[in-house]
Amino acid sequence: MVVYRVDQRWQGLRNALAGLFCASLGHLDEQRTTAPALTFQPEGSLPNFTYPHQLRHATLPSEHVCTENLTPFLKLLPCKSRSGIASLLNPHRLFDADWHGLGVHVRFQEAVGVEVRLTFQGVFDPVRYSNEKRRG
Amino acid sequence: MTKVCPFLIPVHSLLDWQVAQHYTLFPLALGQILREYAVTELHLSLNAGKWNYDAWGYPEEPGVSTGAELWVWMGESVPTSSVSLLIVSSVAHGSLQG
Repeated sequence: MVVYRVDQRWQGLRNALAGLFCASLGHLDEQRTTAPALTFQPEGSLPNFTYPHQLRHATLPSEHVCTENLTPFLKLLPCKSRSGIASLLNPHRLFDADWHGLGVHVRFQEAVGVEVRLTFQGVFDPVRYSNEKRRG
Repeated sequence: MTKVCPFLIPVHSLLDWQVAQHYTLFPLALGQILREYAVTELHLSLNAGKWNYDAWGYPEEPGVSTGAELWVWMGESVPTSSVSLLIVSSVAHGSLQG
């Protein structure tokens, strides 16, 4: 048995997620990592076991979000973008938006289990798309 | 009767996962990563552009920082085996987008 400490697992997790989402999350290295535990309180519950829980947080403002990140995101869905509300996620429209962002949120809830929530937000400008182009 | 896969190492932080492995809807690629690194809670956001609070108000999802943001809660000292590390590296490779 090998015991991996939090920071080793944090590094491994970054690399695994970088591979999964085709994002350069591997650049979220130790120099960008902080642990502001009071600001980022857990949304779910933390299992009550012998060892305490720790937070790791990192941002990478220079990351460019594009179709290569949306495709793996859609792959997490059982039917990708072929069914349901996800069929609205048309890359050409989304990446022409004034602002767009995707999110993956996982939390553990006592007596419920592990919950994953996939989010996509976009701010669109319908006037810019229309032929008239009458913007106030 | 629940089938437990021999090479999936049980983790302390997600005790339920030792017995329940329902990947019918839960994304398998993500689940394997969470299990391997014993992540209790994870938030990843990839955003493009700068959120204009004056024009758009407050967002429905609070994480709107430009670029990538990742924060996780993990339990300390989770024993795993080197076998499972091999598996996760193949998981990561297998899910690379072509």
